[in-house]
Amino acid sequence: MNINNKFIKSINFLEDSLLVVILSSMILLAIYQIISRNLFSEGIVWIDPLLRTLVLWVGLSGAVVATRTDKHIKIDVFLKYLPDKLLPYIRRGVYLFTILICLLISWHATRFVISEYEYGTVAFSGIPAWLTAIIIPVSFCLIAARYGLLLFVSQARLTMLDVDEQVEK
Amino acid sequence: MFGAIALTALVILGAPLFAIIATSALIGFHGEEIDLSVIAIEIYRIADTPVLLAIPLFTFAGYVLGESNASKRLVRVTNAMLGWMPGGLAVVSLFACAFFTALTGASGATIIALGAILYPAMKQAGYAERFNLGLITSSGSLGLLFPPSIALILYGVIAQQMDLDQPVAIDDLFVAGLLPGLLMLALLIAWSMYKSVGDRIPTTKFELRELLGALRESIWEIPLPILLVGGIYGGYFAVSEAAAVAVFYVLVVDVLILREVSFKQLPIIMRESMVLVGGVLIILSVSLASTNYLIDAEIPTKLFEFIREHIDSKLTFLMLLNIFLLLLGMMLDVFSALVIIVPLTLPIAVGYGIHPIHFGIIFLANMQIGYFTPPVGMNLFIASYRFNKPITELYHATIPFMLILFVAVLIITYWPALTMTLLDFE
Amino acid sequence: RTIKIATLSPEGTFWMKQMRAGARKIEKQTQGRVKFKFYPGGVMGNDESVLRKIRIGQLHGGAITLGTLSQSSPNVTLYGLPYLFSNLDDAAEVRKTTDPMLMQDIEKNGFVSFGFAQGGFTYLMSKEPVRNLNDLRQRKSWIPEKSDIGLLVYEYIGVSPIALPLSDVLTGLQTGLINTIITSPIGALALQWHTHVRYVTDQPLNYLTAMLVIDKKIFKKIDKPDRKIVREVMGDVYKKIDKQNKIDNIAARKALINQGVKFIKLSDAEKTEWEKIDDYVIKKLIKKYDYDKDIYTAVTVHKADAPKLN
Ligand code: NA
Ligand code: NA
Repeated sequence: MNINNKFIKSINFLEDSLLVVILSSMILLAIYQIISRNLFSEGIVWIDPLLRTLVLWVGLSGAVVATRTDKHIKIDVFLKYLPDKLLPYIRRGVYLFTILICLLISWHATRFVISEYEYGTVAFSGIPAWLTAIIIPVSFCLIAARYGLLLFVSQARLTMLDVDEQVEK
Repeated sequence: MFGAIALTALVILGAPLFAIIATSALIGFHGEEIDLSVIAIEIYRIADTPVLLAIPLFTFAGYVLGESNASKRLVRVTNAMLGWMPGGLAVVSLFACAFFTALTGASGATIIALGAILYPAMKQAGYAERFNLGLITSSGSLGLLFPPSIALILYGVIAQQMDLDQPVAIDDLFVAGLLPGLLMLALLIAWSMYKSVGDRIPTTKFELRELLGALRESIWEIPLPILLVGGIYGGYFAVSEAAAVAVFYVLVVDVLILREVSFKQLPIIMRESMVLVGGVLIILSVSLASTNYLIDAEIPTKLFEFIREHIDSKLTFLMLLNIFLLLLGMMLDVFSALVIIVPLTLPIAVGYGIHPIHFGIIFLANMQIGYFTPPVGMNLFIASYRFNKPITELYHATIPFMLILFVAVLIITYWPALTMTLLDFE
Repeated sequence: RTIKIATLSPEGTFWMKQMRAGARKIEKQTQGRVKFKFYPGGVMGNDESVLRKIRIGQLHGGAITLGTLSQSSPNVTLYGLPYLFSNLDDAAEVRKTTDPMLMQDIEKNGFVSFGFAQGGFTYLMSKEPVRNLNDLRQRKSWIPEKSDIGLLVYEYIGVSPIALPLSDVLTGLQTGLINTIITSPIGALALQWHTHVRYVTDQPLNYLTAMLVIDKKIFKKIDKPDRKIVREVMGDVYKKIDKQNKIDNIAARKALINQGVKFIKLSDAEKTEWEKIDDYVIKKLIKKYDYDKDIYTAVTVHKADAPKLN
């Protein structure tokens, strides 16, 4: 599995762009709300609930990108007391566990989204709740997929990828 | 039981924390025969929580400041102003964190956003790594007692619903929190000075010319806190909007005026900062689910019922309360803890002659320490992530700060006059 | 069978005390066959979250505001129509016939309800007096999010209200970010907003109600004789709460007056102007919700000029 292939690279680019677009729109919307209130004494009621939804979106999308080089918060101090030989197996075992949990969450989140669709709950200003919630199953599925890719990557390669990302900026 | 052992093993083997918390929630709900899609309902509650908006916005602002030379300038100004005093920069950092947490709540935004500027600044000024980490991590919840802390407001609203004889006005809570909050600050300042003398952080002579020069250099950063406070108290924007104003200001200053950060860098900074936010928010979101399991199974209530059997005097009540709240602060976020535990404990406290306002301050002062109490205080993980340090190093780093603040909590608890005195002057 | 109920109302309130007393009574009378577990203080999330959790069976019921049920039973929003009742007694009289109709309607749509608890009328409260629509246009007004009626009122007068999370309202009033709010006297006192307003425009806007609902699927699993006990006891509890809430509302109004808040009466000419708003709002709501003709007629019986249903 070649992590550097074109397909993966374009997915990376898409994810990164999504983060930039969401955050930029959050900043613009929040600023616009303040300006329009102070200059035109007008409030826009849908901006606040939209911003809160975008917090969920930016957070979960960020979590997907964090998975790319296995950057999730973990307690790894004990690993150094374990024999080096075992480490690759432990790492993959942990990935498998995480993949299973993420798929389980994604599955139940899909059921949640479908139920919101069926009941036609409205999130705000006519926007259906299922649309705002769909990021949950999608992001957990993508996190699982990312960990799936990492199963086939050696530790040395993972460290290199992380360095690559640092260099890219 | 088996589940607990397996989860502990996974923690030790380095499984991502979010997966472990999610698993514990899923196992719990499964045991109660609750449909597991509850985990998605809980994660979705992130979109119902207005205070969280501060996290991505302030984090981004902090990152932009971190890319500019702001921390260098901050070191120069504080050296020029307070360089004669041991621990000058540490004192400034403490005040900045307390102010910032009062605005954003103890959600970790302080550590992520201010950490981006204070951590390198303290490093440059020569503070020891461990002290630096401990100070920023423990200050991430400092400020819960200062207005306009939402935790204080919520306590007031809950207490008022309870038909107590003594009134609990939110304004009074704001006043009552001042001295206890300042006591915490003062003790930490004393510790910082002591440490910086011990670590031989050089002090400098005060020079007006250097101060003026440093101020001129920082002419663009100094107005930011003034803008935020003035904007909120002048009625131009709400507390929850302060983050957006900060982002806007920082962008204008660092990209357009000083040009220390280029347009081209912005997408990269956005990406980097949101990866960090993602790592934190995914944990917050699954924690909502695990908290909800604890609430559904009425575990905090049962725990308190257990403790209640051992209460026979005001003193034992207060001591058990301190321990109980510390535990709770590790398990629950401050809002769930307030809503579940205050109605259980406040009537007992009032029965022992503790004033409800004093009780509220005790409650929040305790919760504040819970945020960075090893092994599972949430802010420890956030700091570990932010500064890329192993969690054990953070345990070491925060312990002195925890002990100091615990002394403050004991003083606040057993010396009611500290909380109540200012109210008499109103 | 344990019935898990969530509510926003905190532990220790009259509401919770009565609910717990009722639960004890039911447990005793059914010899422990029906028990209740309460999750007060909003720990299960807002009304939408509670409904979601009822759907998946984590919760079995909740004390919720009527608007939340509008998705399944649009008729419940009828009590919230603007200027529907001229005072609390008027509301009580109309409700004698309409409460049972609405409860039946709710039950048809999947929930068992035990009665309504009033929350009083909402009013415009402000720092500077609001004597007419022009005054209102010049204020910085806050309305609660998801308030259909609040939105439509401001849509009619042609200004946009300010949206803020609930936690920002108190500081918002303090700093002058907002200076006019729509809330009930009880709400204003509970959230301490009353300390920052000086005037109330004495024209009731809309009538607030909340109720306890239990998922019909769960309720049906209770034995028939026990079901009757639950209905009776909880019905009584709700009557008691409703009655007490009326007393509290009157007391809250007095408390506001004692605090020096001035109640401004509208002139007759102004009243006519304001009645145009309710016409506008009601027509919009009729379009949005598919109201039942009988219930609509019964609810608007004291409102001679209410727009007609087609
Ligand atoms: Na914070
Ligand atoms: Na916590």
